[in-house]
Amino acid sequence: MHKEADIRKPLILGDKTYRDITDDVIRPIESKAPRTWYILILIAGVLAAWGIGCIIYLLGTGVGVWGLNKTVEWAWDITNFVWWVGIGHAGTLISAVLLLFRQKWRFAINRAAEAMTIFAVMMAGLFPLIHMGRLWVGYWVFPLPNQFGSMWVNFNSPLLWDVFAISTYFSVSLVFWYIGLIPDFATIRDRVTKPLAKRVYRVLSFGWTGNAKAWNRFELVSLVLAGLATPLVFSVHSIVSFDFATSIVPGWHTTIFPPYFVSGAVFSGFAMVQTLMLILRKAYKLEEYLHVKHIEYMNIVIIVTGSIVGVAYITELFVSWYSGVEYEAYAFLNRATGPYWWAYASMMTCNVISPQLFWFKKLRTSLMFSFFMSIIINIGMWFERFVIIVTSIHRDYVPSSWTYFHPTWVDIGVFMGTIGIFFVLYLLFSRYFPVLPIAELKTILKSSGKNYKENYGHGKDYWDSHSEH
Amino acid sequence: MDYQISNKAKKVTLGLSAIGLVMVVLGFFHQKDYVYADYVNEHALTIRYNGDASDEMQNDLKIEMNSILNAKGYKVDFHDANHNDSHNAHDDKHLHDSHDESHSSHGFEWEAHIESNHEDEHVNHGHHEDVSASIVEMIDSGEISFFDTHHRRFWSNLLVNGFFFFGIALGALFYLALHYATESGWGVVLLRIMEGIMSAMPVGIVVLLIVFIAGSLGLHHIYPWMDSDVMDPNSSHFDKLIYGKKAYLNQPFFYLRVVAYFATFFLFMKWFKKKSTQEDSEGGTESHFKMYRRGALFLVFFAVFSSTMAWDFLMSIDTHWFSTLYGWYVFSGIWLSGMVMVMMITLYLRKGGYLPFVKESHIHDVGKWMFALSFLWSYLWFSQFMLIWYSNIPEEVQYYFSRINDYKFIFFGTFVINFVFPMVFLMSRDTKRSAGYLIVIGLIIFIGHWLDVFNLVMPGTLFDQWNFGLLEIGMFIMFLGIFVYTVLKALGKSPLLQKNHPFLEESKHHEF
Repeated sequence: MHKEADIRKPLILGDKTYRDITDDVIRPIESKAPRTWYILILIAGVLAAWGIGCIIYLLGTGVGVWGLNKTVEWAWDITNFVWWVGIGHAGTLISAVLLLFRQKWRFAINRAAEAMTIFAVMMAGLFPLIHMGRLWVGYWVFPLPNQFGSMWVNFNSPLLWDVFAISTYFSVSLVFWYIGLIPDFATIRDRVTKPLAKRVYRVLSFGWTGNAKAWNRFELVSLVLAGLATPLVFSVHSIVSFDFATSIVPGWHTTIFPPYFVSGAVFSGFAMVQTLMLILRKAYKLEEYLHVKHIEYMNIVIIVTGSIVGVAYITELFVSWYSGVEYEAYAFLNRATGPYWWAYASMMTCNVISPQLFWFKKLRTSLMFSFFMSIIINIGMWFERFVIIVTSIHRDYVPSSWTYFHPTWVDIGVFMGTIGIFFVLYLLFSRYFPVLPIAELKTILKSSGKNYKENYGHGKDYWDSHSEH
Repeated sequence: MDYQISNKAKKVTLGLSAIGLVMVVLGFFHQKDYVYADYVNEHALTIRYNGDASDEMQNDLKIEMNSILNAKGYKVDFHDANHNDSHNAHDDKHLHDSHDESHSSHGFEWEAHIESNHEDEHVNHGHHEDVSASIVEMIDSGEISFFDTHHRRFWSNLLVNGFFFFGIALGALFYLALHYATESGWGVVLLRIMEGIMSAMPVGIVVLLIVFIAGSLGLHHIYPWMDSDVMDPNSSHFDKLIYGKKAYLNQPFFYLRVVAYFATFFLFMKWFKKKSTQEDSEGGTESHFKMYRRGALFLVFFAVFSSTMAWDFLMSIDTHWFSTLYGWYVFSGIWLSGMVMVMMITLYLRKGGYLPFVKESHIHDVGKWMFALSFLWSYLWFSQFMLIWYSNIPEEVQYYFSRINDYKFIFFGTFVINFVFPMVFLMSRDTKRSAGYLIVIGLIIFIGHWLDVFNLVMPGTLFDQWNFGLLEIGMFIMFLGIFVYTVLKALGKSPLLQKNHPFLEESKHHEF
């Protein structure tokens, strides 16, 4: 066990034992679902059904039902795609990068964040598929040897790199998430009494025995997967940014895109984690495992990544002038002052200015404010993608083809639908899966649990009196 | 345990700089200003020069070539080619050629005709050597050239080393601030070493200031935008693109920024050192939380300054060119060079037994940083290169044209050294815990990142007229000696272990 300094705040509050951790996490699975859960999943289900209806209508009629026109040939579809992929970054960052950095507070959020990642990436993957119009031949995006004639993927296209990047990311995240779940499934298997549930959890836990060798391999695999997942966190959104940056469209082609997209993705991902976890901790009474300190850490990640994104915005703006290329300069001038000024202003306010409020300790430790901000950032990051995509192309080189993009009800319906599907999946997850990593939480109880910390070192509440920052 | 720089270390570091200095002095007088030659036929070639050469210099060059040819039994005649035609031929190539000053005397173009001294040799026509070709070769290789009166290689090297070693100190300061701001625990036992490394910041600051001021005085033309002709719409050297950047690239604003960077970094550096010794004597957690807050504040400044600094010091050399990623790319190199230096100094002191509290786990963690930051650097290198290469937009891609055409091995070599090497050799846990491996790999990527800075500067200042010799090597080891000496000297000023850092125990017990 590692030595932990007395001034570090405890990560698990209350007087918890190993038994308590198991009880607290599994309680929602063992008990009957509350009425609010049914209400929520009903709302999400209706939204999902509506979205699926829109998708079917879209596939039956054609992409023309979207608001795209000949100048703006990419709009909400890709905006939503990038938005969802971005959200899908937090989970793996938390479980892989924070694992490598030995951040113990990640245990409060990693399981749920990884689930969120997986569902978000699924939603993201949906958009390119439906954009292609023929869902049933979606597998053509892979370079499969075939007898269809000259049909072959274009390896020069970043869109194809996306296929590889996202499918790799999805598989690794899924495996990573599932490996972590195995011991916890075994714990549930050993507790549940209903025969069906026992059967299901037995299958899910892959016959986990919990012997020393199994644990040894478990830790080894986690570390290896973390090592593999870390470059993936970077690669996925970098390649998404290549979709734009390899082009020669002013406003799209800029070298800062890869790292800036990654930072923005982490930013939006953490905001979504914040949104979900603030509700989850309340609903499942997990306040002692996920408390103000965790929220504060997440808010610090948000302010850092938000500021990096801010620096990138300003850099782009500055270099568009510095470059001396008039088209480049115009793209940005138009972005900020043209017909889409309102989108640019929303993006700047939500992503750059408002996160700076987290410099105030009072605000970043306020749960209500954090929740409010997380929503703001989710909106802001959607606007960021919209701004990049639509404002860069709605005025091209020929003024006669300048247009304005108007989303149709199908655009809106598909987007809302993915939010619905996402929440259905997430609600199911939170109902039947352990939302906190039971086994891993137990590893930090004796170094970071409040009760244990009180009995060693400087004793009770030393951290409170000695950390006035 | 208190450390004082040993006599041996003093001798080695100062000796190294002395040797370096001698090499620099020798190299200084071998700076070449190239002329260009085109092969016409066995008996004729044309020789061009775009710079500014006095009649005396031109005569010396003619005499030199004559004597070389005489020894082979030939003689040569020079005729002035049509001046007007020739002059602009290569102007495009060197958009901001530093030779092109507004003096009345410009370059020249000669047509040289070579004849044999001995009439009878004409009979053996098939066997004689192609002297015209060999002269062209000698001119291309710089064997026949002017002495570079602008000392471009000297100034460029000064900039390369000034920036590289300033970057190392800054990288250490950045990491220290990051360590405080993130409330890291593991590295507390290494903080004094970082303090020592960042103490050598003035070395880089002074050198960079000398380079900037020399540029303002017109002693060199590394920064084309400092040239008043380039900014003067009435001058024949007027450059519209550079003129368009005047609001940013002008001397008063430039110096304002330079002072802001250096003052900020220097004051933060001093403040962190002061606070950390104060914590040693006072104890408590107050200083720590002050440093925590100040660390975050430093990062805010650094976030902006690291980018703008890279634009000002390096990107503005290639004034026409621009890349939004540039600042972050340069930053990753700075950070990595700093970490390598932390590793080297730690291993050195540990070997001397001064760091009993630094365990293999700490070394391993610094090794991980070297590994991870090599990836970060490579990622940014690739992102910038690939996006520009793929889009192939003329105003952007010209930057890589000069690097790939004239600096091929250094350009791609740095990527291999700085990416493939650490990836292969630092992947395993064992190598990150072995001092021998770490020293070898560390040294290689250290030089690799020096070459990276070389690559950032030289193609914009020397174009295809670069050389690698006494001057480059000498200047590097001279600075290395001075830098390490300064660091070791500074390390002796305070104990090598912080006494009252609240996370000290965590770090002492760091084991995995």
